[in-house]
Amino acid sequence: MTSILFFEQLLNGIQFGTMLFLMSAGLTLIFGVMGLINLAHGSFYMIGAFSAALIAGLTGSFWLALLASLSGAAIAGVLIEILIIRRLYRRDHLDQVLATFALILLLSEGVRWCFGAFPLYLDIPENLNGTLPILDDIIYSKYRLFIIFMGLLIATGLYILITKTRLGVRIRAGQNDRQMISALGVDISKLYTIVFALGASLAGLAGAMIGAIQSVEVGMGEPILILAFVVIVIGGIGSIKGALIGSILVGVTDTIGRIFLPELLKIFMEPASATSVGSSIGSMLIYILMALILIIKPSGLFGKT
Amino acid sequence: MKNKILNIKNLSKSYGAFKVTDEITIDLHFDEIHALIGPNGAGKSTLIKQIVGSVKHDIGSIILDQEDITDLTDVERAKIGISRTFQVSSIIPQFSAIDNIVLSLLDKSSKTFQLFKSVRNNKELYSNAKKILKEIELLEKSDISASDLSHGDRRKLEVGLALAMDPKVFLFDEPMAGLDESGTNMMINLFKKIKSNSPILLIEHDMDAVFALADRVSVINYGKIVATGTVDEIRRNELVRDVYLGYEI
Repeated sequence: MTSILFFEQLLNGIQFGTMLFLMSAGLTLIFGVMGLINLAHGSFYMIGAFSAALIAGLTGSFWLALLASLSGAAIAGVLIEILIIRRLYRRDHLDQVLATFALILLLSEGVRWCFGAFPLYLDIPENLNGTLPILDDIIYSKYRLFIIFMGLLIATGLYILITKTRLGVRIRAGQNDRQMISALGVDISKLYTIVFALGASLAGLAGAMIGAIQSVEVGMGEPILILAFVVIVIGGIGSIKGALIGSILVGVTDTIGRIFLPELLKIFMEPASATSVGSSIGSMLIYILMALILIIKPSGLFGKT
Repeated sequence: MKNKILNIKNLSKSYGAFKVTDEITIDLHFDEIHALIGPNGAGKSTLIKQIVGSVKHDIGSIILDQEDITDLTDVERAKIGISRTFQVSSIIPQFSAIDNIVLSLLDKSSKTFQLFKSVRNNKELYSNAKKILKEIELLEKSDISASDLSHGDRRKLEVGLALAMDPKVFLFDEPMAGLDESGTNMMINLFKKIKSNSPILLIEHDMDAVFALADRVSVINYGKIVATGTVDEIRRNELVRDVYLGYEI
C-alpha cells in the first residue's frame, strides 16, 4: 500500500515539477538573457489560463483553449515587453522589482475587470478524463500523465531550440555579452522581445493546463511564481537544464515531503505532534533544499560561477 | 569621394565641458589600411565607438560607401558593413572557437521564422567557419572552448569574428595587444591580405606593426586629428614627435 502511495505521489511530484518547469524555463531565460527580474511572470500564467477559459467557453474545445493560452500570453508578453519592460533593462534590479510588481497589480485588476472576481473552470477533454493503469496495482490520472508528457515534450523542444537553432545560438550568446552581440549585427531588442514572449507563452500554457485541475482565478500565478524563483535559484540562473532538474526536484520534494514527513515523524513522536511538526517542516522542505544546494554550489546546480 | 569607402566629417562628442572628439575628419580609402595612433586617452576608442554607433556623437556625419549612416543604430551599421573588434577581447567564452565564428557567420538579415532553422546540421556554415579558423591559424583549436584559449588566441578569434561578417570596412581596436611575435606577424600578413576586400581603420600601439602595415597614418591628440600622412611623412612630423614626448617613431 505504502509503495503504491509513494509511486502515486512520485508521479504527482513529477507532474507538479513539469508545471513548475514551464513557469521557470521562461523566468530563467528572461533573467539569464535579459538580466530582468520579472515578478509579473505569474501574471502570464493567469492570462494564459483566462485566455483558455474564454476560448473554451466560446468554442467548447480544450485544444483550441490550449492554443489560446499560448498565443494570448505571448501577445500580452510582446505588448508588455515593448511598452514597459524594455524601459527597465538599463535600470537596477530594485526598479525592475517595483515596476513588475506594479504590473502584477495592474494585470490582476485588468483581468478582474474583464472576467469578474469569481473563479472560472476549464473542463478536461473527454479522452483525457479518467485513469490509466500503469503497473499491476497502480492507476493514475490520464490528464496528469498528459501534463507530464507535455512538460517533457516542451523541455525537449526547448533543448533543441537552445542548442541547435539560430535563435538558440543568439540566446546563449546574449547571456554573455550584449555589446558584442550588437556589434555582430544581431538585433538585441528583437531577441529580447522573442525571449520574453516565449517565456510568457510557456507560463500561459502552464496556467491553462493547471486551470483544468484547479480553477482559473485572479492572482493564481503569484504562489507558483515564488516556487519558480526557488527552482531557478536551485537550477542556476539562465540554465534551461537547471530549470528542468530544479523543477522536478522541487516538485517531488514538496509533494513527497508533505505526505510522508508526518508519517516518518510518527516513528519518533506522538501522532498528533508528528502531524503538526511534519506538516510545518514539509512546507519548508523546498526552502531547506534550496539552502543546502546554495551552500554546496552557490551559483545553483547548473549556474555560471 | 569615389575612392573613399568611409568618410567621417567633423565628428564631435563632449561629456560636459570635456571634448572627447573634436571635429574629427578622417577617411578610409578602398584597398587601404589607415592607422590611427595617439597617446592613451586621446579619443581613439571613443572615435571607433562613434563610428560603430555605440556612442552617439553630438555633431558630424559618417558616410559609408556613399550612404549616409549618421542616423543609423549600431546594429544597422553592423548589418550594412561595419565590423569591429574591441580593445578588451570580446568573444563568447562558453562557446567553442568554431561556434564563436558560426555566431558571426549567421545571416543577420534573417527573418524571424528563419531563426528556428538548424545551425548544427548546416555543413556549409561550419565549412565556412573552418576556412576562417584556418586563416587565423586556429583550425586545430576549433573545438576548444574560447575560455580555455590563450590571450593571443582570443585576439585572433576576435579578428576571426570580424572576418566572418564579411564587412565593407574593419575597425580594429588594438588587435595585436598581448600577441607574441609570431601572432603579430600572422596578423600583419592577414591584414595585408584582407585590406583589398575590406579596408581597415586600425588603432594600434605597436608602432612597428603600424609602420609595417599602414598606407596612411593619422595622429589624434586631445580628441583632435593633429596630423595625417604616409608613414614617412608621419615619422618626419615634428608635431607628432611632440605628441609622443620624444618617443622615437
